[in-house]
Amino acid sequence: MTAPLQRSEAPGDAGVPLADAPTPVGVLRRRAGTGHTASLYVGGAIAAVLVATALLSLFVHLGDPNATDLLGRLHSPDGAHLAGTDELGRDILARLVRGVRWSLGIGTIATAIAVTIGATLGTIGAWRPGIVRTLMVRSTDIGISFPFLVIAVVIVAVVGHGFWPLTLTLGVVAWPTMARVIYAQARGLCEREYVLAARLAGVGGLRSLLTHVLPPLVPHLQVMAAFTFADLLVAESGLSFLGLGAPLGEATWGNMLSASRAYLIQAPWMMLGPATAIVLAVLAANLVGDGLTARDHAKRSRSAA
Amino acid sequence: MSAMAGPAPLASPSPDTAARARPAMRLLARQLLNRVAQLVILLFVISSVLFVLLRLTGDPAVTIAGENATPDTLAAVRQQYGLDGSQLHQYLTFIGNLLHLDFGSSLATGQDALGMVGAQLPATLRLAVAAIILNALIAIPVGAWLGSRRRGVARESASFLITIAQGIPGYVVGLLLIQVFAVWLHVLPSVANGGFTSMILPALTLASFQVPKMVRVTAASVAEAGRADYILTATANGASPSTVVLRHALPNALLAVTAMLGAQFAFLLSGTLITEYLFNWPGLGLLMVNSVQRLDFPVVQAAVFVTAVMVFVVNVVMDIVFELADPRLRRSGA
Amino acid sequence: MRLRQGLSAIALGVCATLVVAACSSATTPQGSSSGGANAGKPGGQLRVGVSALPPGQGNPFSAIGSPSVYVWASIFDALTTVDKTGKVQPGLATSWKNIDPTHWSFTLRQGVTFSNGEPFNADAVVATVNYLTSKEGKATSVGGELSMLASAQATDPNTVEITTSTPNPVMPASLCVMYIPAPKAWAQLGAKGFATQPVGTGPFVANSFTQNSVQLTANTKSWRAPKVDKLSFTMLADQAARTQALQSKQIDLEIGVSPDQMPSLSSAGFNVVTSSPQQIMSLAFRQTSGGPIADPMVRQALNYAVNKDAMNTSLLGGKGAAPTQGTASNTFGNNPSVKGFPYDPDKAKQLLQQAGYGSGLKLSADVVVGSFPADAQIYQSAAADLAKVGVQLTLTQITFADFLSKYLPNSWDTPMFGLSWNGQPTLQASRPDTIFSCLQPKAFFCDPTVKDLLTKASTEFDENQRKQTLQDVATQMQANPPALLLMEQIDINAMASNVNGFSADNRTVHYENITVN
Repeated sequence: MTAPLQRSEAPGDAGVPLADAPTPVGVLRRRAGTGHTASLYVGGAIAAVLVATALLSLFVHLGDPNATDLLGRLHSPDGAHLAGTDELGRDILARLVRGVRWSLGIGTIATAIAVTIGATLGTIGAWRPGIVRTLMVRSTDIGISFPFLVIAVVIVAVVGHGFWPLTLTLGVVAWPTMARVIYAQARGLCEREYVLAARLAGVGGLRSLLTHVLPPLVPHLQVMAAFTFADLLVAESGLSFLGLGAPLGEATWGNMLSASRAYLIQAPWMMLGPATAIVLAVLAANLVGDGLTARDHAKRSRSAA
Repeated sequence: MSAMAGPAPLASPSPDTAARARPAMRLLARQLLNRVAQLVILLFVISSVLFVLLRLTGDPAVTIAGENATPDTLAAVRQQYGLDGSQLHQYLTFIGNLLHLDFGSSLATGQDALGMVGAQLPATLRLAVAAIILNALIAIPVGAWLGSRRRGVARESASFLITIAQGIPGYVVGLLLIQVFAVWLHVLPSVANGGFTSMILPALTLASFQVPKMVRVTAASVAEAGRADYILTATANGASPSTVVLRHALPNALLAVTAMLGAQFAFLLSGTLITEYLFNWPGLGLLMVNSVQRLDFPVVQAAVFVTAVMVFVVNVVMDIVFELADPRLRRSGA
Repeated sequence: MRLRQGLSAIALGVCATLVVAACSSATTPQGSSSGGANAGKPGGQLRVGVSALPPGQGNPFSAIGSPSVYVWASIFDALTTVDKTGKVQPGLATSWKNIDPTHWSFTLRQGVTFSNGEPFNADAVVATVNYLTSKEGKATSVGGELSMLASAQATDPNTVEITTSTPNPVMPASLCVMYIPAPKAWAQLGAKGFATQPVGTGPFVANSFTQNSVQLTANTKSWRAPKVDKLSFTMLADQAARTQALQSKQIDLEIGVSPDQMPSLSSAGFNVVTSSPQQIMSLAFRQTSGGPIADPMVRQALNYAVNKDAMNTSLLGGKGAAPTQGTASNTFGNNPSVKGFPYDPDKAKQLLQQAGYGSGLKLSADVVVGSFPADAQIYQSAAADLAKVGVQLTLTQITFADFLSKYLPNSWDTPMFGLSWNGQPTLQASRPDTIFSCLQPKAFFCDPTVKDLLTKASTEFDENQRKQTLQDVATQMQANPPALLLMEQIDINAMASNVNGFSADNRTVHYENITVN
């Protein structure tokens, strides 16, 4: 009973696999043999498409996301504009493509920040008892209790709107949860007999940490990273929604969603475009996380048997 | 997360249950005191950090004085609201007042800041509890059904839908609900009006933030519990599948679910921010958004303080429930 | 197992208890009823949705203009009002005359009482002026606006003499912002107490002022008694939510509609009313901090580069207007022979070339959005137009609080910023013009010629002469533009088809005339 809980403790982590692994595509499952790999494949495939689009847009002109056309406002999807035009006549598809760069960029970097800080602090807290551990646990307490909105507003007020302030905000908000979960996992690992034995035998603290504690943590980190990425993607669009995110007119999914609210009746395609994009990206991240969890789970039960 | 926060108590080796109870109670009491001390330090640090950060966001005197203000007006406003004097002096005054839970008056309305927070808090609590209940009502049956199913089309397509649902941001759900039920069908109000009906859409929206996750946790727990020995025994003894689920798997799964519900509370509170903004629900979230934008520092301080206390208390309660409930955890070490 | 079941039940029971506790202690927000009970009866209820409630609640000295005026116009009256054409109309004063440059005499309306029974007379006016000239009063918005007031005296119960510290020809118009509170109630409650229990002479009495709504009932004894029984204001900051509330019949009148919603609201049977608040939206130039925009040729070029008519047609449904100068066409002092800057990107490029920026220019501007119809789109559209002539304008969105922090001390880090000023409430060109001149404390733009002209106009009692001087200001500002003029804005309001009698002068809504069938 405690095993599922350990993983579901962190509210950002729903990486508990269904009994026989979730497989949205039955065919892929059969071909792949084991369900969790199919999850990984599908998720990975979607992610690959998104990343490829982002990279491609850096070199190839895929439509101008900022070209306004006052006479062509709010046009429904047609031959010239596959996803329609927005309130300033800009091509929505071009903006969605530009938005991939922004969202993937922010999501990846913010997740990286959160994972790095969270994992480091969590492991240190688990490794060193006493004041270090207390400090770490208390600071994550504070980090978790601190209101997300205030952090966002402060950072925007001090640093301004933009890619880096937003990334910073999201990284700062996400690391405490990450630290908590890693701390919980690392605690268990640090108390394993072979680690204690190694310490008694005189193996240096850092070496012991690197060879015994960190490697088993990696799968957990991967899973957490995937789900954190998904959460931060949604959070970024939420911040833009409240006007604290991307600069005015910047082509980001969050901005686009925020602008689409006033046009839900006249131009529903304005909402559908970015909503689909966000759902796809989050889906990819969740599938990858699922797949990783299931694979890790399978590996564990195989080794336990 | 919260279960791992404190040291698990060790049971005394005495076989006599009565004798075992008293040290356990003392341990519980000590734990509680420990927690209270933690809370005090937490609140102090948060309030102090917030004091500094808020002052980085802007100068509230200008918001009060308005766009027509002359430098003289500004100076007068500063004096009137205690915004003159050095930052250190202001900080010390703030801490001094904090000790009697005096957050001062709202810079915008002049009313007592803590009072304003207290007046708007019940609305948020109502919404949060409604969302938790809705969450449980939807997620538990669906999750239980999902977790007890064997591999098949029904389960695969259901889990696919759940995964997609998890990717839809909560406020998008809110927007869609408003569009369909309020604007097109006119059956539910989209703006808070004190009646019960106006709570439905916001509660649904807030619940949607967490329902997919809850379904998956429930399904996994039920599935996991379903593989336990006592289930096999029950099935072998001829119990029907539904009895197995309802009477054996589900109660055990509920424990995980309950713990997760408690952990959700903190995230629910951040979800209420956007939800209250969308539906104009007069709760703490809306007050926070407005106060932060208006640079109404006393109200922000009071709101954050109250929120931190609430989250902490809920976590502690959940921890206690969890520790008392699961004897395996109580005997931890094993 | 049973223990665990029980404890799970307890945990859920705790949740249930919270529900009960929250429900019983909740002060349920007084809200809009479905209106069904009142429909058809004479009276009824008018529910108004606004973007913000007065930050100072019922304290009429804490702010000027929108959004506070929408609520206060239902509770208070001032000595005068200014109508759409700029003419000063009687309010609580029926007539006035100028005795000498610093003395005015006002004859007051008789038979008016405050909603708490106190009589309205010269003493009430004197008490108000005394407060505004006191230390505490001078620090308020109204006190700052009416800084020319020196003292007031009651020569008889219905006549009051007001003295100004300097000659001020437009003083009667300026008094339209001075709402008169009941003097005894004010003295008793003080500013803080009065804010939640305001007492005025207007058509409605406020019963409750909460964070998110104001509930009022009819004051049948008022000199302008209303036709509806109840009035309520609900704060719906989010524009989309506000329109949704109107569409789902939770409010009857929406203040502040987006231009893109006009067609769908009209076709759904709602009455959409536009009016000109004489608001000119612009990007102000911080000429005092130097840089490329210190050159008047650059500033003219930027004005030629933006297609204002296209923005008006596409974004405001043609209901606004391309501004020719810093004041609207019906503002006193507007110069009809100043034609402004028509759209001419070639000329813009030419001017930039002459000024030495033929290869391009980088500029940035801080702007606040969400205040005016389609403002975010107007700014972005202008930036797109500027890009076509080689000017890269980066727009940064800031909050209004941020704006004030930068505006008052002129501590921007960008060479331009979004600024919208209007002639309200006096509808005099001098007001917006002063903002863009050296006379502004912490001026961001200074033209000595304009300064001299404005100083001259401020003491000219002869209307024609004053008009001429103000028109000269407009001519000078054409040659030396202080701002990139973007749009003459509009106010858009919408109401249900059963709401009749709506009218507003300079955002002062005449609630007493409204009926809800």
